Amino acid sequence: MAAQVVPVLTKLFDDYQKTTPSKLKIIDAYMTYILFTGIFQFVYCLLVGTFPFNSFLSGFISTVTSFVLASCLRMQVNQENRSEFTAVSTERAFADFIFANLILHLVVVNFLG
Amino acid sequence: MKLLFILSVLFTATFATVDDVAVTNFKVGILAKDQVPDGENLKNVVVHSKLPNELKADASQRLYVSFNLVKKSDNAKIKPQQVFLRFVAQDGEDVVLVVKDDSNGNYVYDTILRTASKSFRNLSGQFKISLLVGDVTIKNPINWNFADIDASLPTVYEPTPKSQQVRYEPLNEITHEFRQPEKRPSAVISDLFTVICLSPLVVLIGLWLQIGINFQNAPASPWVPIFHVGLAGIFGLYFLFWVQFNMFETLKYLSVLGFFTFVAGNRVLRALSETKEKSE
Repeated sequence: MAAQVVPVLTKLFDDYQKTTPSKLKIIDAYMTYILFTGIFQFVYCLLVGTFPFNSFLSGFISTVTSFVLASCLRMQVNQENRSEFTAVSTERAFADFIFANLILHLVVVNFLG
Repeated sequence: MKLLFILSVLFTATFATVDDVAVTNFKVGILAKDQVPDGENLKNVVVHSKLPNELKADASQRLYVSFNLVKKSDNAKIKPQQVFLRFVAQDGEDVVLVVKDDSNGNYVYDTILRTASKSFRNLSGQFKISLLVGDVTIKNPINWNFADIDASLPTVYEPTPKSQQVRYEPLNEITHEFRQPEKRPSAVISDLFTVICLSPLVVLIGLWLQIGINFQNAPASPWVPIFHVGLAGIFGLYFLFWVQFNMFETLKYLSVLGFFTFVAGNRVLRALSETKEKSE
């Protein structure tokens, strides 16, 4: 099993390194960062408790939503999806991303307490 | 009303025959629930003597008292106005029950004690039982303690309603109790997790450096620093909102900062897309 899985994963990783544009790699790194931040927050919630519950919620919602926004940005920036988003240029997508993040974090901070 | 009463009493006292009354045929006994009263379970008591033995009864048994009231002169049965059994408890509290006559003019009191105990106001234990006979036409009203009884009656605790309790001592002072803060984890654990949650940031910067993040593509224009400073300012404003501002102050500053950042961002991104179109 492992013998089959390992080469597949290695191949996948190599292809990713070679073929993915560095713009998308940056977004991917950002998404990984958010993913792990969210996981650590959730682990804290499980191990220690949800005491400042609104703080936990706002932090966790912030990570989840940032992840969703980043994935939307990635979809729109990706050259392979160009045909899908003809009306949305890369810059427009980035501006949307920034704007959505600003609104999101205004709400998050308001809820943080 | 008072006058009427006095008149009626005078009338009765004047025209009724005033006479001595005698109690005859006095029997008392404690019976089981469906026992028929007969000579064995009832005891005769001579008038103005007292039953030598104390009666014992529990709530399921009946108290049976029967007697006749007659005129001493001609032995005719009479019906005085007041015929009572009076139970005096040891602490002086008393209960008075009415004895009624049957169709033959015999006085019989025959009640299960559980039923009778409803008028006993939770009294129980030892009582002295007296027969009271009185009327305006009777010369010798009777108050005769004929027996003692040890009756274990059901007592129901009925608390006096708070509105009827009388308290003379001051009530306890009510001090305000503040809500206890919820249990928090120790500062070490919280700080540890803060570091853990921030650690992916280091990984992110590492990954970005490895991928080769750069700002070479940035157009040489004064809008670029304005845009970035504006963005940083907005997030700094959010931090202040978290720490000290309220929503109205935040929105006031945000409208200014947001405006400049929006204009700057618009210029920067437009410049970027123009250079890209030119190169294509």
